[in-house]
Amino acid sequence: MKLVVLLLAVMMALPASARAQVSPDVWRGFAEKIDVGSELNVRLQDGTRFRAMLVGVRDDAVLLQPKTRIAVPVQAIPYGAIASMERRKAGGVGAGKAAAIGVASGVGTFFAMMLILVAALGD
Amino acid sequence: MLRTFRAALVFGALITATHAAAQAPPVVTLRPVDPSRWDVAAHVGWFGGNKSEIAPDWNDWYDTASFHVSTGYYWTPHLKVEVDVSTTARAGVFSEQVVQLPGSPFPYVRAREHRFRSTGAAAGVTYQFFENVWFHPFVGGGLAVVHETERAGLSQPFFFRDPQTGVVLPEQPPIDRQSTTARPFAMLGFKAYVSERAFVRTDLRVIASADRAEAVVWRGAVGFDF
Repeated sequence: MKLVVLLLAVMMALPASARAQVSPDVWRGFAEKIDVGSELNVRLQDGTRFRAMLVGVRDDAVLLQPKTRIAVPVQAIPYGAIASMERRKAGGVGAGKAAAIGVASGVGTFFAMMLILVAALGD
Repeated sequence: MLRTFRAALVFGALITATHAAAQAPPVVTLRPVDPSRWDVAAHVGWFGGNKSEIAPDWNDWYDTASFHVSTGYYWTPHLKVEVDVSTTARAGVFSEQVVQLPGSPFPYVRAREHRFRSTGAAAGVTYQFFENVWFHPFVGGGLAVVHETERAGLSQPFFFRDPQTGVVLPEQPPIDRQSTTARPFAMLGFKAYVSERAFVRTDLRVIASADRAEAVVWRGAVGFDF
């Protein structure tokens, strides 16, 4: 048990760069073949993961627009910092589905609150 | 105790390692240019209070509605300090007293309703997972100061006269007392944004004493960042 805990600790403390190294040229070649506007799942050598849209390709870096709740500037990611990058498959949660989930959650929360209020008033 | 200490050491080492790794300038920043540092939320909750010291097993928790207002300040994108004030509706448990009357073959079980209401304030720290996304789970803990009022036995049921012996049970003195306690709590929940700044949130909070859970609160809230 102690060994497992120790191993986990070491694994988590290790820099991500020690675990995966791919030549920057591989990622440049990959980025050049993808259409601008495509959605990507990106993982960096420092462990950061994010979803982004491909905006452009430079010799030294790929230009990505991270898909965040509040918009952030376009980021130039050096190819050497990329641990993995893959194109997102279609069929994920689209805008319509996300909106439906949001509305359903909101309505559910509202009715749950109403139920609690009714229970409180009836007590 | 030693195991807890070791676990704390490992956790500390992990935090330190992560922190050290975070010192290098980030390749990508997911932090908005003008992030919101504050949030405010109005909560409605289900409050369960543990009264096993006075009530039998079948009836030792009372439950009622609770209402909270909270505000929080983000020290970092993940770490938030939060304070809230709350109140509950009134609810109760029944206590039982077994009384053996002289000359009566059976003991009496005398029930009495105790009604409780709590108001309070809490301060805590939460760790929010992920950054600038639509769904943020969080865990946290802190200290809750709860002021509780208890009332009981303000009217006596009619059946305290034994029909065989004619003995009347002594009247129970009414209870009308107040207490204030400070206890630690732990919570977990999530914050789901419905727009860039507005969110719905739900969490489960457990207020504990040294040997048991004193109260459980499940809350739902709406709020916004600013």
